Amino acid sequence: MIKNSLIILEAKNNKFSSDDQKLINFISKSSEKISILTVNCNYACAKTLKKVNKIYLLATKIPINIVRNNCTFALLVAGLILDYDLVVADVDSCYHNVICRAAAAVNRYVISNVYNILDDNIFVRTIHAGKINQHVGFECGKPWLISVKLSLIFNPDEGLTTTKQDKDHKCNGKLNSNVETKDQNVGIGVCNNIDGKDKRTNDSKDSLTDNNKTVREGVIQHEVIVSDVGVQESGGVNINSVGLEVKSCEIKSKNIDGKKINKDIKPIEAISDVKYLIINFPIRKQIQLLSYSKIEVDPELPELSKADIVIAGGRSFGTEENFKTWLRPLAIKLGAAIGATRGAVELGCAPAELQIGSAGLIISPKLYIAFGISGSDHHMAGVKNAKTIIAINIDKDATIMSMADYYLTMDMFDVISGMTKWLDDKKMTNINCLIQNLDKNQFQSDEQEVKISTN
Amino acid sequence: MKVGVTAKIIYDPEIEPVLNNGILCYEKSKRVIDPIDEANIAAIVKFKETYPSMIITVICLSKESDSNLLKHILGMGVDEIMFIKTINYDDSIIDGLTRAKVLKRLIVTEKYDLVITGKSSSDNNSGFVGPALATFLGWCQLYYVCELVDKSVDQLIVRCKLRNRIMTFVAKLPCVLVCEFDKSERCVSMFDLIRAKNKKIKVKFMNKLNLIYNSCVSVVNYVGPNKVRKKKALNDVNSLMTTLFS
Repeated sequence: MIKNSLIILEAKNNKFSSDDQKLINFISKSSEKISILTVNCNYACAKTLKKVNKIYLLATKIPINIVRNNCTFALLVAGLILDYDLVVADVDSCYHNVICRAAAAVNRYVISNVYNILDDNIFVRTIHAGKINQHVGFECGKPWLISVKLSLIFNPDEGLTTTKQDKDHKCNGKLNSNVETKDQNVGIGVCNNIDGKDKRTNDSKDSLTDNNKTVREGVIQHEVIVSDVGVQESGGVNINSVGLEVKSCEIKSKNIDGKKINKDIKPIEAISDVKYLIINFPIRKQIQLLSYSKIEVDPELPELSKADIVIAGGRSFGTEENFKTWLRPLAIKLGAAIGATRGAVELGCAPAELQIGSAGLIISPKLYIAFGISGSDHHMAGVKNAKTIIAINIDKDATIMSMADYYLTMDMFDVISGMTKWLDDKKMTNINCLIQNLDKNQFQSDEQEVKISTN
Repeated sequence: MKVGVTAKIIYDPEIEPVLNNGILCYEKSKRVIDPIDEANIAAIVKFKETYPSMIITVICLSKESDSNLLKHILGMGVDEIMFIKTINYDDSIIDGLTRAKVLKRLIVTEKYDLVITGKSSSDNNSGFVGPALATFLGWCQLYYVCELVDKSVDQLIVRCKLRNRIMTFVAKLPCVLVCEFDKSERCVSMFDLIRAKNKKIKVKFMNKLNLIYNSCVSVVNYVGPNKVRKKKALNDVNSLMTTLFS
């Protein structure tokens, strides 16, 4: 079990998303204590996070633009991570870049695209666009840094699912050598030059030596001012390497909700002694921002990588107008995101952002409906993690028919009209209700399968 | 202005790797320039059309057998290639941290003003080299770069695309850009290859860089089990919707 983990999260409009809590839930299964470094978040917002022991709040005059302030922020993170065993970010967020920068500062590598943690030091990730899975273990001392692929985590609330195959690959906490084992060549303890200053972490395995550099400690120091209780305590951060002065204030909250909690039956969520530390973060104009604009996104449709239901079309739609006219109304009714095949993107039916497949997005929705898609290897690699796949194609011999849970050999336009009509007739306007029904049906279907297999 | 563009040579991502007794088998896979890096090279070559004084060097760390692909890179319009040969090391076991350290050595020696890396490689998708390189060099860094807009003597104007936002920044040189440009439509012709015949390929040997390697991460590959699908035919839309949502 990992003792102490740090997760970096950013609040959007002073609000954390369900994905942020999903990340915490995922890490909480393998870590005893969790600290969160929050960005653009105030105390009230930070309070909404569950299963957290310590929260760092960044005090700034204006919201932090991480793209612009990534250098300063990475140094702050580099100072903090030495106190932790595991440091985590979402691989699809800009904090993946931040932890990569911070990792290099302390001479560590980041294992990316992690979607499962087996034991103390076995991280499961995908490579080759999800075609190959890897068990990766650090050979160096802590801190370890990982970035998590949230869309590949199936059901974090049920805990980390250890499949039979996963277990087969475990061997006393070490990687099994009967499969391909690669020792990636990396040096630990090489001095890194950051803004003209050298630094290095002490590690018994330090071995990649760079003769031109010297070792210096003390670039990243710690200093904390505990404000509300008036006691000084170490644990905060003071990064002097670039002349920053970061003072931390601790707000000890014995019982945030003011409720008495029985310790014997205390759920993980109800951590009563959450520590809050405020770090003054100086915003520097390292990079000048000239202009800022928003790309128009359809506000009625969810994000493709995070949607529970995805409907997708292929090149058989022919034109962009057809693609949009047919799929969008159904997507709105189902609360679904729209995806496309590479063929549809190359034909100009859909923008490249909607491409699903090994060269596009890899998704894992609860329900994936493919309209007029043949099912190339390239495309199916992107949807193989979907819980239920529905194929609708007029060609009964299309490859996708043999890779789907349910298939309809019908004209896709008739099916789209039929589905829309069915939703209208049943007055199914509540998307949450639709998803609940879908969950229930999927659960029942899974149970039936188990019964059949046991019989 | 000296520009260094990193390029990784990988097994063709279009071909599905297979496991043979637990070992990834690439016998039928050809080696290609990572499409993400290829798009980066094409974008900087296009930018050079506006600023011809730029010198573009592609830095490639790979095994000797990949040297035939370098002519293709030269044909794309770059000025020279720095080829770091990984003799005695399997290319696939050299991870991002090592790559970043090797690149740092060369970039400091060759005095580049701008370094362009891909957002991630198409095979392991780690996206580590660019940010790590910025740290090692102590340079400023911008990521999600989707367009090079303009340049002056000591600064560069770039556009970054982050989800639903587009931001234009002025980055002071030297800097590292982690880029994700759109794929170029331009193909390398025979004429391009002939024109590139006299361009330089500088060769360096990784084992002469005075770096001693130790393992940092261990890796085990396996093919994930495919979910068994029901493959059940439905007769009409009504039965489909009832199965799903009723």
